[in-house]
Amino acid sequence: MNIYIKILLSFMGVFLLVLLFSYVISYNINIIQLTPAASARQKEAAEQSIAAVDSFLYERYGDIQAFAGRRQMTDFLLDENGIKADSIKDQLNELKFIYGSWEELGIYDKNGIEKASTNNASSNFNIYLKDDEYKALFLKSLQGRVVYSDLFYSQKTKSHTMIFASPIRNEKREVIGVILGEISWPIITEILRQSSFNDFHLINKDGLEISNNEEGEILKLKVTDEIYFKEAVSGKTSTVEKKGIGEEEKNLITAVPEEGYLSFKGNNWVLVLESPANQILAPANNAAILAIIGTLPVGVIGALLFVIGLRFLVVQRIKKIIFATRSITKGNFDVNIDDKGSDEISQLAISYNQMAQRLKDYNKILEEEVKKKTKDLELSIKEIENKNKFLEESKTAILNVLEDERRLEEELKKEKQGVENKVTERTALLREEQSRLSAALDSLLRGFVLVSKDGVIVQTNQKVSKILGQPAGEWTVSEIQSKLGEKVEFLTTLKKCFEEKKLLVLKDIEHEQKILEISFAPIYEGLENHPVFQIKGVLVLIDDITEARLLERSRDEFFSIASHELRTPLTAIRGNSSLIQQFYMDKLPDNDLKEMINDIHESSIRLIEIVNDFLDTSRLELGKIQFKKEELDVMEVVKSTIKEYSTTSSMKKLYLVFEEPSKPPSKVVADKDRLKQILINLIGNSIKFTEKGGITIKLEEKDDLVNIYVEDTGKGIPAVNQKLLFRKFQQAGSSIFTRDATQGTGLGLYISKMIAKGMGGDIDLVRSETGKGSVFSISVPVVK
Amino acid sequence: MKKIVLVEDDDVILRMYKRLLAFGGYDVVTSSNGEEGFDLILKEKPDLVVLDVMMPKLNGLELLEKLKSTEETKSIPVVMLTNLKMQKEVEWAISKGAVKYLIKSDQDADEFLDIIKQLTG
Repeated sequence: MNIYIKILLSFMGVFLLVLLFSYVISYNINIIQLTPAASARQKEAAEQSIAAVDSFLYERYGDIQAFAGRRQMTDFLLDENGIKADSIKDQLNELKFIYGSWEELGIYDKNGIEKASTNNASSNFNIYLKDDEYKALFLKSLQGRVVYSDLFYSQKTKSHTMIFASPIRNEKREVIGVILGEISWPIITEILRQSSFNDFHLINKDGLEISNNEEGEILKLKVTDEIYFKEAVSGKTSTVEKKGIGEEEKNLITAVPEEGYLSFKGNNWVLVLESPANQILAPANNAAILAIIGTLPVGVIGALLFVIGLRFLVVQRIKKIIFATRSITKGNFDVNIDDKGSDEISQLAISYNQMAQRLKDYNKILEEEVKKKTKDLELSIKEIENKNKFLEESKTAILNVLEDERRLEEELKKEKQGVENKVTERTALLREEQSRLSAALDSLLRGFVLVSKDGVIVQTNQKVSKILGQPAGEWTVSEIQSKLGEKVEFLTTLKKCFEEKKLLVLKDIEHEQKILEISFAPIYEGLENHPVFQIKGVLVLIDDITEARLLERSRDEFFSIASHELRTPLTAIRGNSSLIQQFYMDKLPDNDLKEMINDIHESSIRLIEIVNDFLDTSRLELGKIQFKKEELDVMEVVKSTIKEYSTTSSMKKLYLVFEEPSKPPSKVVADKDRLKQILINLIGNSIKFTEKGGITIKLEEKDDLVNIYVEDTGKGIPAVNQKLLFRKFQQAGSSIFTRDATQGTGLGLYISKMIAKGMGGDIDLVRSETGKGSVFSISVPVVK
Repeated sequence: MKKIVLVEDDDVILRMYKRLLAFGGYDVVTSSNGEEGFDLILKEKPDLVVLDVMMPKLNGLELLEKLKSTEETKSIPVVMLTNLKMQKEVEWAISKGAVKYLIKSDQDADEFLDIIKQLTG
């Protein structure tokens, strides 16, 4: 040892002596007080100790939770994958020894039957569940939570203990078991020992010491009345200078309320930590300084004496301790230093011997542990080898699965390619279909506009733009409207078509020197009279009828001129032939000649009728004939017409009667000449086709109409011809080759129908039966 | 004997009506155009005038209007003869004072004479 250090030590010793002296004096006069700084240091140290315990317990909480989550635990409890109890036991032991933190650990199934544990002594470790604390925790954990107990005295460990429990779950997250682990107080004291305190005591809420660092030596002293205990119970850490628990010496006592993991219910435990008061280098107060100054000369003399005796009293003994330390460093724990005496060095020696003994104990434990660990390790290696083998097998299996997957993928790829090809094919087909449809629509001679339910145009053809006069493009309904101009009720009619769901036609629209006809046809969804029957859209067809109109006009002009030109010679033929019949018959000697004149006359009349029919048809079709609106008495019209035919009917020996109604019908609105024309046509036909019996005319007023019925007993009209009766050039006698040329042009009923409709009425075949006769009706509207 | 002036541009028709009216016992004076017809009517002062509608120069309707606006001729009854029945023309002619509007081809000889007889009373 360096001489300077020795000298320094000597002075320090002297100074210490002086301080000791001062302390004794001040103690005796009771003036030494704990400073706030010292108090704070104590408090901080105490709280750090507690925090160390807390973090230790927190780690254990994590341990047990992680352990319970191991797949093997589940498999083991479910008896799957061949996990043996021994393997689990090894793992539990691993936890116990590696961390050295757990007293015992055990695994239980749902019914509380122990399946594996670290306890070697008893194969029936179910003692856990015989103890209320263990049982309560086990049941709590079965609910599915990681739980821990309060610190309690366990009969099993014979010390204060905490237990932790964590649920073990299956794949469906159902609890199938519990792992229980216990931590005993001695383990906790190991942590507390690392603190700067000499002694520590765990006090329960009743102020009773229940545990301390002196193993097995519980003093059971009541500290209920102590101020530090009261402070701690109220949640504050306090430090006082007092006689220690169970000691004669004065100590600094710090009491800390446990607020962390040690007591989970809060404030139930108080940890009391003690240090000898003289260990705390509390700065002296003024009184102490005065005492030191007062005793300084004594100190100096004492110091000189001390230095002389130092070598014999201190240095030699400290050297022994240094030798012992070197021996321990080399691994020899069998040291024993003479610890007789009662001075500090003796105290040091006692502590040193204790430490050496403890180190020796620890070394022994360690060696045993290492031996055990080695054995465990060997077991683990074996297990790992087994696992490796299993993994190798698994790998092969996985590779097989991967191969299968690759094949499947290839097949899928092929399938996908097939589908893609089909999609391409279908797309092409659809496109073809689309272009075919477009081509078909474009080839239409009409403008085609398909309007959806919400008024959007979904399809048009090129003709629309051609007719409306704008380069081909997208149309909207409002664009069509503005193109046609305000006068044309395009949008209104479109709307009406959606509402009324029937075909509507806008006729003779003049547009840019063209004449258009626009028809609106509803498109339905579902069947008529069915709940889902509804309009789906409207098909608008725009017709350019300019050409057709021009043709109609020229046809009409042709008919006009032709009939005029035809009529003049016909008039001459009819007039002259009738002149001969009237005034020269007696001058004709030959009967054949008479007959020929009659035929010429009759033919001329028929020709004139044909010309008249053609002209009428043309005019009616063009709407050129305007009907007069005369208020007429139908009875009069009927009577006068019958009168005109009376000769003809009597010549054929047919009756022609008018069954007058008992009550005269209302007056009607009609064109008298035209109404008569229809009547003449019907009565004429009846006479023409009736050989026996006769013709009856009847009247009936019904629904604002007067119906005139012309009933005959003629040959009737075959059913097949009845439908076509009112068509152009139709005759009751079917085809063009079999038609009876003497019976007219086949325009009579067609003209009659147009006239009747033009006057607001109609003409119809009521019934007809071959060989029995026919009934026709003419309806005329009554005056409103 | 009652006197009738017949104005008709077609010779065949003119001849036919002339013959017919003669058979009916009338004194028939004829003209083949409107202008000459008017002079003839002024000169002859007939009991009845029968006018064809479509004629060159002055047509039947114009001649009718002229006759009805001329003091010396306006009281002479006029019958219009035509080949085409035009509703408007018929109405117009009746409004101008024509007593009858006949379609030539519609009557046989006796029917025509019956009508003329009625008009000449």
